[in-house]
Parts: sequence; C-alpha cells; structure tokens
Amino acid sequence: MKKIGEVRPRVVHYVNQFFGQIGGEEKAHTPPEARTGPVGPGLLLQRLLGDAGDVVATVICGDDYFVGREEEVERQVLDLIAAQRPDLVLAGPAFNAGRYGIACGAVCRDVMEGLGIPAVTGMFRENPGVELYRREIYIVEAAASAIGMKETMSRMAALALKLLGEETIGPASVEGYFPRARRNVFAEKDGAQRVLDMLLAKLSGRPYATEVSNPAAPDSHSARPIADMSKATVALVTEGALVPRGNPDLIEGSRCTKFNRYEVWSEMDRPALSFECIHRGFDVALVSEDPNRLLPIDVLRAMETEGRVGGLAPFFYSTCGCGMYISEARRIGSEIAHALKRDSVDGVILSAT
Amino acid sequence: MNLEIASHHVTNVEFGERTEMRDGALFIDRAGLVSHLREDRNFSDIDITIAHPGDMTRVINLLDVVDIRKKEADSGEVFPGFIGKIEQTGLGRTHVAKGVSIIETGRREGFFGGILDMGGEGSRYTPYALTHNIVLIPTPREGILAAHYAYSLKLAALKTSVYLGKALLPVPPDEVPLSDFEPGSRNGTGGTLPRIGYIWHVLSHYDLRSVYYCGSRSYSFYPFVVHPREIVDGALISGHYDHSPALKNYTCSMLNNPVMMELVARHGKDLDFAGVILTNSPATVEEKKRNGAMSARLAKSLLRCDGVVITKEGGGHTDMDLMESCKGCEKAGIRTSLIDIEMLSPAGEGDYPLVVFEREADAIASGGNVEERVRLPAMENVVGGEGMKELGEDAGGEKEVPLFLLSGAVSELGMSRIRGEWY
Repeated sequence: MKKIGEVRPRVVHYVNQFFGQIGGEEKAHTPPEARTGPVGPGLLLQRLLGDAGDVVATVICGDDYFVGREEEVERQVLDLIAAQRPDLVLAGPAFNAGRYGIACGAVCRDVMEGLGIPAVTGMFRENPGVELYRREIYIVEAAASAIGMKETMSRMAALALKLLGEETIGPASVEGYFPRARRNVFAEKDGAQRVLDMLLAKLSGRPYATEVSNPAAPDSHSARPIADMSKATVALVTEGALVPRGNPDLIEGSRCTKFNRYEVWSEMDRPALSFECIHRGFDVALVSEDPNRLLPIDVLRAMETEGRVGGLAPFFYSTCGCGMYISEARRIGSEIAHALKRDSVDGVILSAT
Repeated sequence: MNLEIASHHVTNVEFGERTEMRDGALFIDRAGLVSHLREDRNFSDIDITIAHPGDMTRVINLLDVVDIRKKEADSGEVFPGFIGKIEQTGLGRTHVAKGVSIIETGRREGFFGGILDMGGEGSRYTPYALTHNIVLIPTPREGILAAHYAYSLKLAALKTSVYLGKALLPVPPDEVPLSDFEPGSRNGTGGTLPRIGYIWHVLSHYDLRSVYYCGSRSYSFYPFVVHPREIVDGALISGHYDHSPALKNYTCSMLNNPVMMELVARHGKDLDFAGVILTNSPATVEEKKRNGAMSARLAKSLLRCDGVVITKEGGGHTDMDLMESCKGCEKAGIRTSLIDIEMLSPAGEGDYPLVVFEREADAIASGGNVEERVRLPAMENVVGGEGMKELGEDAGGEKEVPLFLLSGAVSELGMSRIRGEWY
C-alpha cells in the first residue's frame, strides 16, 4: 500500500457508454476501452479527490455489451484496469440504471478479488446490482437519478479514501453504504436502558431507531397442486434430525452443515430400534420413541394400501434445522430439491420440529 | 407492605476461620460450607474455589450464577420452594451482597455449560467477570440421573447463598433502595406519566430447559402478574442445565432483572411502572398465540398499560412468543419495545437476524449476534472440571469461541451492552 503523500494513489474510474460520453442506448453495445485521465463524472471525482489521488484512466463499456456475456467482458475490463496499476477503483455511480449497476457491482468485486485493492460504487436502493453485490463490496446509497451525482460521488470518494488509508470503516448507516453484514459492537447503555428509552420515545412521538429487524421475505411461489394423489409418488424430507442409531454420518445436532438420504422403514420394522433423533432444539423423547411421529411413514403406508396415495418413495432426506445458518439452509435446500428431481418424485412432505 | 433490599458492597472474598463479614470483605469457613453441602448424598465430593476479577482464570462448565441473599428473621426466607417455605414472599428486609457471585459448575451428558474468563479479552464481555466468584465444583454420585443431579446443583447454590447470607445480617447495609414501591399505585406520579408494564417470557421446554416459580416448573403456568418483590426474594430460579449460555438467563440476572430494576428506578421520574406479567414459551403455536393474547389482555385490562417492554428467553421458536405478545399489545393500543438476540453466521451473514419477525415489532433492542467469534487469550488457571467438549484439548489455551459460549456476554434481559450493527 502506498502512503498518501509520498506518491499520489492511482485511481481508475469505470463508467458506461452514456457517462463515458460515447452515446446513449444506440451505443450500448460499445466494447470496453480505456481512456487516459478522467471523463464525464470523473472530472467531479478528480476535484473531490484533490491531492489525495489521480484519476489516471477511465474504463468505459456499453451496458448491453457487459450484461449478457459477463464472464468474458469482466476479464477484458479487469485487464484494462489492471494495466493502469491502480491503487483504487471507483465505478459509477449507476443510480437506478439496472444493467449499469450490475456492471459496476461486478467490476468492483473483480477488482477487490483479482487485484486486492479497494473498490467503491454507488447505486439507488432499487437497482438490482444492490442485492447482487452489496454483501461483497461497498455500494454507497445514491439517488434514483443523476441529479444526486455530486452528493453520491463525494460520499463514494470519502469512503474510498478511508478504505485506501486502511482507516476504520463506520457502520453502514453512518458511512452511507448498503449493509454488508452484522457485527457486534458495545453500546453506551445496556439493553434494558435502551429498550426503555426506545419505548418512551415511541410513546411520546420522539424519533428512535429500532436496532434489529428482518427484511421482507423474498417472493416464493408454490408448485402446482398434484392433480391425482392416487398416482403420485411422495417423498419425506425433514429438518428433524432423524438419523440411524449411532449417527454414522455425523449429522450435527445444531448448526448443521449436512444432510443425508436414508431408507424408509417397512411396516414390520420397529424404527425406534434403528433410528434416533439427535436434534438439539426440542425434547426428542417422543420422536426417538416412535420415529413415525416425525415422518408419518405408518400413515402413508396405510394410505398407499388404501390407494389414496400412489406410492411412498423408499427413502427420506434428513438434516437438522436447529440454529442452521441461512447460507447452509439455502445450499442444503437446493441440493435436496435437485436430488428429489433426479429421484422423480411427484410430491414432498416437509416435516419440521 | 414493604420490601427493603439491604445491599452490602463486598470488596473481597477469602477463605477464613469462620464465615463472617469483616471490613467489607467476606470470609468463608470452607470446611463448614462443604459439610453443609455434602449433606446432599447426590454429591460424592465438593470442591470450592474463589476466582477474583482480573485473575487469569477460566471458569468452565459454568451452569448457573446466583448471588448471596438472606432475609431477616420474621420476614420469611428467600428462594421459596427451595429454601424458604411456599408462602407470600416480598415482605420485610432482604439482604443482598453486591460484588460477589456463586457459580455452579458441572459436566455430564445432557448439560451445556458456559465459559467465564476473569481476565483478558473475554472479561470485557460479561458482568460476571467483575464479581468475586465462589465457584462450586461438585462431583456427582455415580449413576444419578441428569435431571436429579441438576436439582441437587441448584439446591447447593441456593443453600450456599443463604449460608453465606447469614454473615450479612449483623452488618449495617450500604444502601436500602426499593423500600416503598407498589407498582400500579401511581406513587407520586399524579397520573401524568406513561404507564409502563413488563411482559417477561421465560423458557419452558422440559426438565433441563425450564425455570422455577416457587419450586414449580415454568411449563405448567399461564401468564400471571408477579410483584417485583417476589423476584427479589428469589421466587424465580433458573433451572436451565441444557441450553446455550446466550439463550438462557442465569438466576442472578433474574433476581436482578435489569429491565425490571430499570423500571423500578425510573418509576415516578419519567414513567409510572405498572407491573410485571410473567409468562412462558410453550411448545405449540396454539399455546403461543393463547399466551400472547392473555398477556396483552392482562396488560390492557388489569395493569392499564400505555406501553410495555417485552423480553423472551431461548432461541429460535421463542421469537414467536415475543412477537405474539407484541402483536397482541399493539392491537390493544399498547405500544411495545422488545429485546431480541440475533442468530446469523459467525461473519454476520444471512440477512435474517430473527427467526420470527412481525411488522408491529418496530422497536427492538439487539442483544448481538450470538454466533460471532471472540478470541480468548490463554489463561493461567482453569477451574470447573477436567475439560470441556467445546474447548477441545487444553481448555485453558488461546481459543476462538462463539460469543454464545461466554456466560453473561449475551443477555436476553438487557444486562449486557453488546448489540448488532450493520456494517
């Protein structure tokens, strides 16, 4: 890392064809190119940086050219940037331009990963690039349109210089970037004082800020209902951590990172002899006593005999949902879903604890 | 009806010839205390050691923390259902030692213990590193069931509390607060201050994951109104032996419930404390909804609250208890604020810190992400058993541990200053 003041840090700015002054939509297929010095909003960036950095080059690429063949173009853009031997990269801001936002996000991530130097961009909160890249890079919150250019660019420059100087980066709400991850901090007051202060503020109409909330759940849609259950093969999937006795696959009872596929028991079996529940989140006694209470195999067999269900898949998938990290849950859920596709089942009963 | 808390600020704890307070220090007749506790034949042995603030000592397999309490003669006795008789509590004068804690330790299948570093980085996180700690290290009789042994451990800690509490009685206390407090009476408030209640959810799963109210398990009760004086006298006791340290409250933090104490302290100043509704966290959705509705109705019709603070105890599913009480109150026109902990990956990823969240919950104080890692330096001493599963080999060595293992670092009762923040 170069010290600020010794040699001026070299800054590369990435923009699209419009801000790169090549043209509008009709020029959106322009392939990437590098120009010496600042172009368009880069002039503002240079003014904001002052002596703290030199915008040595501007890399410009058409929005349509970038989006659609990302892998190849990302490589080209990264090579053009790398050739400038930069210390810092800024991209955009992209405001509410979706393709531009996606390109800015990808460029910043590639620069941070590939070149190991800081990169900062700016977007409007509804730009699709925000959800795609906010966890990996710093995206400053921008207005919806270029009217907010000056304010956004000055916040981007301030944050970029902090990153360059390896200064402590403050919370997202203070620095003005989109949240990346949660981190624990020591508050001035204890939780009891804070929760009461908040309540009294809420009652009297004074401003207060909640400290934690969940975002709205992403949209999900259900599969179409099964038209004729008497012809359908049904599989069972559970987060209830039912495993063969002795837990040979070492499925974790909490913060689980694994799942496995096990054969279902037959009518004659006493599953309590061959299975046990290792879930750490609830009293497992009833399940270990009779695993049919977690996976209703006895009921499904009876329905199969009566012809009300076409068939029961000869296996079930089991994992443990207790305290599972959401990233793991997404991966395991997706892997089980793909496996079920290969298994050619028509429907799935998910039992949770 | 009066309750006086006679507080004694204990400046040091040492073993001595007899159990007594001398110049602000507590001396303990170790042999006398050991033989008192050994009357319980579920122990084959009991060791007792003292860990001081700043010591490079790691207490492991920590199961509960209790403070020293004793009532004056003719006032009944603390810990009804365990030590004291089951009768109306909260009368007379209760002596409490500040600056000293009693710690239960134990390791066995079915128990989930915590870690307490008295010095170094870990000590920054927990109030229990600031007290002189009397650590009980018992050995169970062979063949005893986990639930029975847990009961013996509980009784041992409470017996120690009262045994040592006798030494406080002859000494003039340092302060006597909370003497003339009656919630709901609008004492001196003139009816102009907002009436604030407190809905307190305690965990209620099974024998090793429940609390006691006057000796009864928390899974057998419905929402009801308790008097803060009952809490001060030890009507509510932790019975959690099989739960993550971050997802349960120790007896000491219940006796000194920070939300309740804050409400008492601010009563008549910027609020009118209306009272405490104690409720639990049942296993089924129907029961959770029923309890939420019942708590809200008690807050509205009986305590006539303008606002309530709601806290929970436990992990994921207990978010639903918190949210049901919140929704019920908000619907009844009572404004709410909540305390909840966050459950994300160690790096704070996952986007959904809470397991259950409702839009009415617009004022939540965070208790921090329980999975974040903390680096602990090596300690000189390890007390509390031969080792601990979660620490692997060399329990006293330099370790990186999840925050949830540090006893007292995360508090669902708002005792700690740790909170989550977006970065």
